[in-house]
Amino acid sequence: MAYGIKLKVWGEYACFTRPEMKVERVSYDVITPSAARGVLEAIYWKPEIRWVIDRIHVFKPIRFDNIRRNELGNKLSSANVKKAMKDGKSPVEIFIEDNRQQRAATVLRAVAYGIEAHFEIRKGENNTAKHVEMFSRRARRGQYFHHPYLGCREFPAHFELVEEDFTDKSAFEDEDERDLGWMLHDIDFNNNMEARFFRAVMRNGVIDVPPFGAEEVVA
Amino acid sequence: MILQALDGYYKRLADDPEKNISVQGFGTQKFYFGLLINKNGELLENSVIDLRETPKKKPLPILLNVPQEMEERSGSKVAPHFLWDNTGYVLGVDDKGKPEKALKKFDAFKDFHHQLCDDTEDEGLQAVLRFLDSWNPENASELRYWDEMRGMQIAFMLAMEGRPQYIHDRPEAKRIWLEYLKKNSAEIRGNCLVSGKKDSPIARLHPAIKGVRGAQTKGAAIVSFNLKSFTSYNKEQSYNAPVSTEVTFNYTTALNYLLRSDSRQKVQIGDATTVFWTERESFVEGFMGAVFDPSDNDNKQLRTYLEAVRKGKMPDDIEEPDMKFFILGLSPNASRLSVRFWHVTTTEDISMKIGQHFSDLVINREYDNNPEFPGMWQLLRETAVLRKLDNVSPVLAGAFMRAILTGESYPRSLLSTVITRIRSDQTVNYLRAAMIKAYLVRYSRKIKPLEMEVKMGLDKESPNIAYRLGRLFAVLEKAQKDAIPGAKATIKDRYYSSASATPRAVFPQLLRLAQHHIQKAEYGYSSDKRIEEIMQEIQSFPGHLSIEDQGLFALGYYHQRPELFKKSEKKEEK
Repeated sequence: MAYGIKLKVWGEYACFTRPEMKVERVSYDVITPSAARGVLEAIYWKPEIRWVIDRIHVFKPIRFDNIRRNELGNKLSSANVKKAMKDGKSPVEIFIEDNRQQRAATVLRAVAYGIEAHFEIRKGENNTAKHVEMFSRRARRGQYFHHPYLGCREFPAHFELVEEDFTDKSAFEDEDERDLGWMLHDIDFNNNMEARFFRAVMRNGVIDVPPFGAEEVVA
Repeated sequence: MILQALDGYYKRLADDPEKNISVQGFGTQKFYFGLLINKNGELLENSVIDLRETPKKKPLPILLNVPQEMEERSGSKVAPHFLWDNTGYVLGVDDKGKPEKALKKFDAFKDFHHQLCDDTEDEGLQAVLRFLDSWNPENASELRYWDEMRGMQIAFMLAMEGRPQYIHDRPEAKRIWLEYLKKNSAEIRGNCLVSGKKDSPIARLHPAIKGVRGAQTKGAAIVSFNLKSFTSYNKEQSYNAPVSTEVTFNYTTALNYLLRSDSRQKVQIGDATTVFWTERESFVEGFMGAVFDPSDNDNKQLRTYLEAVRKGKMPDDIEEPDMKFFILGLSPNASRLSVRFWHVTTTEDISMKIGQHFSDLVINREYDNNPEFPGMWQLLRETAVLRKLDNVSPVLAGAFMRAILTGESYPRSLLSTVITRIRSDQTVNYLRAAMIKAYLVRYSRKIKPLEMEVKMGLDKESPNIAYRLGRLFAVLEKAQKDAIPGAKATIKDRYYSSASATPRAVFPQLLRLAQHHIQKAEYGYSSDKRIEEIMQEIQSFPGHLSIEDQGLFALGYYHQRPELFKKSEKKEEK
């Protein structure tokens, strides 16, 4: 993988919501591949490429914390938007005051991960060196399109490009194997937005992420 | 993780015939009465059977495993259950004040049973059909116990030679029911994200969880998508998170079993109803609840266990130290449940952590009846306004619990809340002192070593100023008490909070005051001597004390006080 990249991300809080508990949020134990993809895309992405997460290193122990937040209970309906587009004067609005929902969340505290990833060229000229360079340059300088975050926009991620190998010691280095259960891999956007899951197993603090199309990734 | 673990627990329960756990397609319901019919579907004279148990004065319903409720009966929906229901469905009369509606329900019940049982030869089911065909709702009021059973749930029983038998227990009834369920099960199939099983029927709605304090009585759900903003990618209800109907049933049944009213694996911590279980049968699972909420302190086995783990020893009874131990705390939020904490550990680890907690808490007791192993709620009550459990901060309770389970330092808010309580009611009692001590010991071990080692009892050698000031304050209070025995407002009432927070503003004045007390009191010189001894190490009074120092102040005060009274009592005897 000549065009692989390594990025260290860390933050005070993180919440990688489990789909079955996304209402009263409960986080997965570690970052999911799709959340890691989100971090990379925040730093650099072009329609020509698709990020693929290869490996996730877990550096800090898994710690949970509880918070309560006010969230919104409703979504703006597409019908409203269409109507407004047609007549040009219908309001397109939603007020938090009318629709407040207090929701509890079990989130992660003080996390740090190492992301190993590469990208595939989806279309256009096959100039991988260009994309690697652009990503690396941006990451080195701390540039991003939007601020990368750890699962929820409220939990910003700090990041650092790692050009050699990860130097951090994992808290799970001595643990041979830990089964983290079925974890969301990513959404299949070409196939009715189907969620696909994989069995996450951490070995000595490292999770190998199977490719999206692999047999062990199930819808 | 949570659902997986509960699914596993269900399988453990299902393997144990003693537990009488429901199987797929069936659920437990409360029953007070049964209806006894013969093979011809006729009611005999004493046909209403009183099923109630009366261990105490109040008659209690019995729990029976019956075909489960198919869907929620919301609004005016008429949906009969199979082989059991309330009198409105079974007999056509109920207590809702709408006789026509009840008749409609009865007809629906009759049709439903005809639909399911017409093809069977089973004499029990045939008897039910005959009964339903011949029953006239107008006769209901002539039944025995009618006034009591009106509106209640009723099960059918078949008169047999010897003992009557529940008709829903007949193998044929079970077979028909499961077949019906299979036909009417969810149409959407997919992969279950809990078990990973491919192509299994996916549940649209998850059954309710009952027994979480503060949640609606009809139950609440962990997995629910009851508002627009909870859905993603145009998925409806629980298709947002595909879980197979089998796992859905298993985890809710297991959780409801843990939450049942007489469960010994359930304890209330703050606003969180907390349940415990282990991978396999173990004795720790049974009384972990008692560790947090010791309702019976006399339990000998529990005491032995606690004493052993406090010393850092492993009790021999735990055969499998690496058996997994699960803790789940749930609290209600609207019609949903939120996971307040989730902790997976081993029985050995949890025992060690609990031992550590109690050994950190050890401090000289004020009175002999002070609990040696105070439960969590006893401790937390001391942090609450008016010592009411309702006033305990749920956030603090959760964080405290987490600290106990993980062995991390206690939440800083524990110390600040206790200090605030002490300052507002000027009472440093055993439990508060124990919590301060435990906090400081752990703080010193985990975060930053303190200048002094915090001990169980008075540490006369310690040069720590905050600790000394606390001791000094106790001595000054004693001096005043000796001089003016029945003083209404003592210096403790008036000065404790400022003395502990801003010593420089208060102590010079207190010392001056003490001179008057010493002159006045009979044995004033002893106070004088004590003040002198303590003051030796105090060069100057600090302007203010940090929260940790205020903790030390409180401990100094708590440690010094019994010392004063011990001595004076001896002298009076002479």
